[in-house]
Amino acid sequence: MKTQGMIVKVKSNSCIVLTPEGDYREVPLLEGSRARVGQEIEIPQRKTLPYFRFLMVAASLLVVVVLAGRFFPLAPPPAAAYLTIDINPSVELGVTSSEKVISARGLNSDGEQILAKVAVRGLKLQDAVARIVSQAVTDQFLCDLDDNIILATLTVEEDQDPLVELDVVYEAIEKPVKSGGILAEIIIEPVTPKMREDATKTGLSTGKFLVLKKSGEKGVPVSADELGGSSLGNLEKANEISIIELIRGNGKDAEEKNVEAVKNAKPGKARSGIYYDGRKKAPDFEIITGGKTIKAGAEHEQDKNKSESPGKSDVKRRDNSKFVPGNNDYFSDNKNNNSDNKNKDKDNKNNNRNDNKNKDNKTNDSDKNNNNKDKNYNDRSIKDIKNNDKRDEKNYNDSNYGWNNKDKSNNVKNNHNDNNGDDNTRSKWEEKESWIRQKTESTENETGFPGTPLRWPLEFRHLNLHPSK
Amino acid sequence: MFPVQDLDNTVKNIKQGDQLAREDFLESCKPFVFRAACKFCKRVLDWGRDDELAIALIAFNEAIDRFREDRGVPFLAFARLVMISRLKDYYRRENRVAAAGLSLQADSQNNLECARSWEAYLEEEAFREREEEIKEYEVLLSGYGVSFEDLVKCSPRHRDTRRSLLLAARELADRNQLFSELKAKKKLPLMELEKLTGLSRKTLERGRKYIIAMALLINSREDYLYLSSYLKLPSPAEKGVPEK
Repeated sequence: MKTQGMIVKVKSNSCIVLTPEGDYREVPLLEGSRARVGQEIEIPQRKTLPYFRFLMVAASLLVVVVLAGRFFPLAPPPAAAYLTIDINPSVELGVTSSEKVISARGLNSDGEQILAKVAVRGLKLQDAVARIVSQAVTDQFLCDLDDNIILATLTVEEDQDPLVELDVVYEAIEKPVKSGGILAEIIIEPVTPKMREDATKTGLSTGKFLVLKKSGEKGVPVSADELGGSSLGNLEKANEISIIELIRGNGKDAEEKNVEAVKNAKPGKARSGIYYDGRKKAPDFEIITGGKTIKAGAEHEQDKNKSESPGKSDVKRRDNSKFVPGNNDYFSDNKNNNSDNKNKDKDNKNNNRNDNKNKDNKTNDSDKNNNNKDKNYNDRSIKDIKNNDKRDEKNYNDSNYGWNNKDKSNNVKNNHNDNNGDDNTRSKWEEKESWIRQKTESTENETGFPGTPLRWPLEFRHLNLHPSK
Repeated sequence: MFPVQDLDNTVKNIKQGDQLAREDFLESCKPFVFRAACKFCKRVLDWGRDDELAIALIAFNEAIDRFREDRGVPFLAFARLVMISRLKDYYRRENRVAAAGLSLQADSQNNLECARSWEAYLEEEAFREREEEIKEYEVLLSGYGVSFEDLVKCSPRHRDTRRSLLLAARELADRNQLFSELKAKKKLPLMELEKLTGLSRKTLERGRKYIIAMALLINSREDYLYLSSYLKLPSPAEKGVPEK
């Protein structure tokens, strides 16, 4: 039914009408219609429910929510790169171009277990990696006596810089491992996305797939089942192979090529991985950057330049040249590759250091005997790196790139023996070490776990060195 | 002759040939004719002495025949228009100078074209009158501190409430004593209304402006022919108050 009304007053875009029922109402006027006072007009009836508007609003909101729910989760930013970590738990992280982890999946049961304990989605890549590794340490996947291998792969598009610097990943892995007092072989290898696809098809992690492939090339019989089930450490033991060597490539030829390539290429562009063998019982290790093997001292520095693990950033080139005769040669020849040194000069605190050194030298000897339970356990892994700086440089110069895989262990041992007390590097890390040593001497019995301080002192907390960080 | 809006049906009956009703109706409407004529002539007329009243009554009779409901003009307003136009004709005819020219027009009154223009004139006139009337009403209301906007806000939404408030307004308008009190004090005699209508004070208070507006309208319904005939006022007979 339509209601009529007589206009009694006209306003700008509405009018007041009087209905025959005696009701006064304000009615919106249509655009362009001419209303005169006294005119009789039809009053538009409320057509539908009074709540119609609200229903419309609610419905449209619902639609928006539903659509948003549909579209956003279905189309997350695509992962720009994938990073896999094989400890024994195998984990794959999808990383966006902004280095945020957007997907994480466990590639075996241990991996899923770990991911259930740590939330890594949305973190920066290095934080996520650090968390996973430290969780692996706490869950005893990495323990000091074991043959620990951490194999990480990062997909890198052809002809492009890696999305995340390998050093950063290395650092993220190394930090919790070190602070957990564990020796591990860390391998970080860039792979092509194609490789990852193939690996996904086989159901292995990219890292293990890589091992499988390389071992196939080398003629080492490793089966996929073997790879899938056991940790790389066990695998290495069982087959008496070195994963590092396996992955790094085979033989001198490749290496030399790499050297050439690295010489020409900018440091960031180096497409070879980082190989860090910290697993040997002796405190030595080697890091091959850009395809070169650098023995402890020298590599320490070089490596430090790239990755800023604690203590490394304090290394000074200038100091080295002072302290170490023959260093200059080394630098002028080879150091150019690492023109992007990030070393920051910090105040030398040699005084404290020298005291520590003497003790270290002693403890190193005992380390050699694989007395990992020694109270100086922690000291060994880090201190020795420092102490070996010079030794390794020498060695490096002598060998003049001509390192040989088979000689490696010898070198390592030799190097270990000639600890010269030269202490060119110094850092907060070392300060911390000395502090720990003091502490552990007193608290060793209480904690039952040598080398673990009860608490970090305040002055070190800001360094975030604790494994739980 | 009240209520105003019931006239339409009466006129309908008369048009169908009820001569007796016509006589009664004319008789009952004489005061209205008198008032309208006096207003137009701007002097007090006398039945039996002034031609104007006779002419007005004849015009009123003509209006009964000419009245059409679909025009949207209430009968009394229409009758008034007809009376006024006839009186104008009369004055022109009286004027000797204009007589020659006007007689022609009077002769051609049955001419279709003329009739149509007369209709148009009536319509336009009715519209104008209505507009004026509403504006007058607005001014009247503003004297009581009531505006149409207020009425929009406080006019009762519910049909029953509106009905009871309209009845209260009618009660007020029909009781001269109460209405003069309203006019004097410009506020509602709430106590008396409460007793008369049996409505709660709260309801009356809430519909105060509405009651004032409606009482004013009903009281001077002959001045506000268009508005008051537009309203379908609830019949007080339902309340048991005999009308007429």
